[in-house]
Amino acid sequence: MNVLTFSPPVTRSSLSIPDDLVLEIFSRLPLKAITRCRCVSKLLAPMLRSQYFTESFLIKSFARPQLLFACKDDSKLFFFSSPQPENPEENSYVVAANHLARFPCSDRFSAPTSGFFSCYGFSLIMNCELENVICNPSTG
Amino acid sequence: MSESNKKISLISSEGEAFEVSEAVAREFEIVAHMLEDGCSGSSIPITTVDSNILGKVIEYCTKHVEVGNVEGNSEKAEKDLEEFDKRFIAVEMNTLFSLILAANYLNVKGLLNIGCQKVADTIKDMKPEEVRSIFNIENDYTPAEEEVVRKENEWAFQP
Repeated sequence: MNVLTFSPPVTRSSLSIPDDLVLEIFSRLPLKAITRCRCVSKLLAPMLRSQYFTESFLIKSFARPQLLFACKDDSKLFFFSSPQPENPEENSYVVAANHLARFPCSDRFSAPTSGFFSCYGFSLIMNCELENVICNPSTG
Repeated sequence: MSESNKKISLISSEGEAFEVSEAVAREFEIVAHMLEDGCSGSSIPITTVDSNILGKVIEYCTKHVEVGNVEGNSEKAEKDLEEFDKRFIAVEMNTLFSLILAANYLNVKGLLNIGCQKVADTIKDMKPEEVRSIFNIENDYTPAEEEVVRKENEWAFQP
């Protein structure tokens, strides 16, 4: 059986990082980075899909709520996220939005798109007829 | 002698003794539990942590105990502590991993938290091959498999 080991190169012989610590680190990543990390190794990918990891990720995400924005341009949907303003009464709504992803806007969402939404753990109400759609507060 | 003035020696893996106040030693939850379980010895061996790292963990705990004892002016104290944490954790990757392992073993939650967050912040924009190199993970995908998995997760590689 193959065993996945995490050992920073400099101290390969003496220092190895236990799985639970590695998952603790990865659960602090944004969703986009976690998804890229599924391409790191065949043994790591299922760990990043496990229930334990998902729950750990959601707990951390709830602590830093984000707004998810979607907007349509031609036949594509663009997704952005930005931190939720902590003091909405303050008269400053200029926030930097991170580009998350773009998908073709079709009647049905493709498999990766569904994965994208389910990973966020929130239902998303969307109407492709609208030019701009503000969706539920999301995480990640 | 009040409890906070008691001294405890923490012994590193090399046998070096670090004398700290009980309040600082109690920041190591593993030590706090030992003391609560009636361990009355004044010297506690920390056999899995070397002098360099143990010294750093003690520095972290000492600062946090000092700031925790300051009355009033809490906003400034909190800001100072944040700055301290930021400087404290700005170390090369190998030291960072050693600090995380020590904080995990000794159960120093605050240090574990900032250590894990620092690694996450460092790797969040990295490519899979760079993440492999940080954790020394072997790439067990065949080129064809890797192409498939990259395609499946294509959106995450878009700028």
